[in-house]
Amino acid sequence: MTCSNKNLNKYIDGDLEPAAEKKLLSHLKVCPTCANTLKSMEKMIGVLRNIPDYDRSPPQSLRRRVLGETAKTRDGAALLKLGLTLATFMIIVGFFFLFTGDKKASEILEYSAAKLQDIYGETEEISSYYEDELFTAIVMMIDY
Amino acid sequence: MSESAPETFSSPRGSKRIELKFSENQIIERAIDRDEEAMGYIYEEYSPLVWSLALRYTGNQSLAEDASAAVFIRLFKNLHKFRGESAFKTWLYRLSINTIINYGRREKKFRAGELFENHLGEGDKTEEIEARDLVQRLLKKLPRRDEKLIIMREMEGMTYQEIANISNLKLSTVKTRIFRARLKLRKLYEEEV
Ligand SMILES: [Zn+2]
Repeated sequence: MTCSNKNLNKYIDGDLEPAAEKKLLSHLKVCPTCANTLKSMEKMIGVLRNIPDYDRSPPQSLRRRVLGETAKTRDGAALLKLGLTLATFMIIVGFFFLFTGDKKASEILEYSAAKLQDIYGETEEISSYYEDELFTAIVMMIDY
Repeated sequence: MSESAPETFSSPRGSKRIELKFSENQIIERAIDRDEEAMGYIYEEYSPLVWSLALRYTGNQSLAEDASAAVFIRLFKNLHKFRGESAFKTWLYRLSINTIINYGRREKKFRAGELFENHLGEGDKTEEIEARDLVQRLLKKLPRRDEKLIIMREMEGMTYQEIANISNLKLSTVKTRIFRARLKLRKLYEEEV
């Protein structure tokens, strides 16, 4: 029998016919080249085949991370829109309050500010620049 | 997407199936619309498969978590690209193995033997761990395509037919490529030892 990597490969897969396998095994006894090839291949492949099934369920942190992060991406755009709408509304109410000193308007304003803060707490998409600018404006308005 | 029996492959560490109120089709549609419940279903159903692959491939808990998270984030982002030409599980598996292997290649420092360590008896620990790290290192020297095939065949224990389905390759092509990849790996090993 001549040397054949193809047969070695089939042997590794357990795909050799019994007769061919017998031949290969006797060839391996007299051919150090093939014996070495098989040895290295089995060593490498054996490592991969023996990696244990660690039998662990995915950690809770992964779930939080995956569903949390994806939800955030989803909400990013919508939250930004909502935030801007709310901010516009506040500016209008703010001006109304400014001119009339109406107590109800001041309550609405405070409530909106709290909501806006919640929204910003949930999204990282809005740059801190705008966040700072907006809050400064709101704080100034409320102080006034 | 096929309503027929899903293509099976021996990802042996499959999840226990959960009861679904909707068909997989409907769930995917809803998940494309970012329905949280639907996304949760998909996560519950497939996270054991993704996690197991990532954990065994990286051999490292925190890296496996990063890689799995990357898979799911990519999955939800690309869900609309699923055309149903293959079973969803096959499509997801393809995405997972690509993402996880890319992840492994980018991470220079990880030790694949780390987790392996705890699963070995005393005795031959060092040798086995070194062998595991060596294999991981050599795999990265193979073309990405070859590494993927070797992982599916040897680590995942898939049949050639299953690999052909996942890779969109002919059975004969898969066989030849794996044969060549094994020889390349053996050559790299002999250069190293
Ligand atoms: Zn020979």
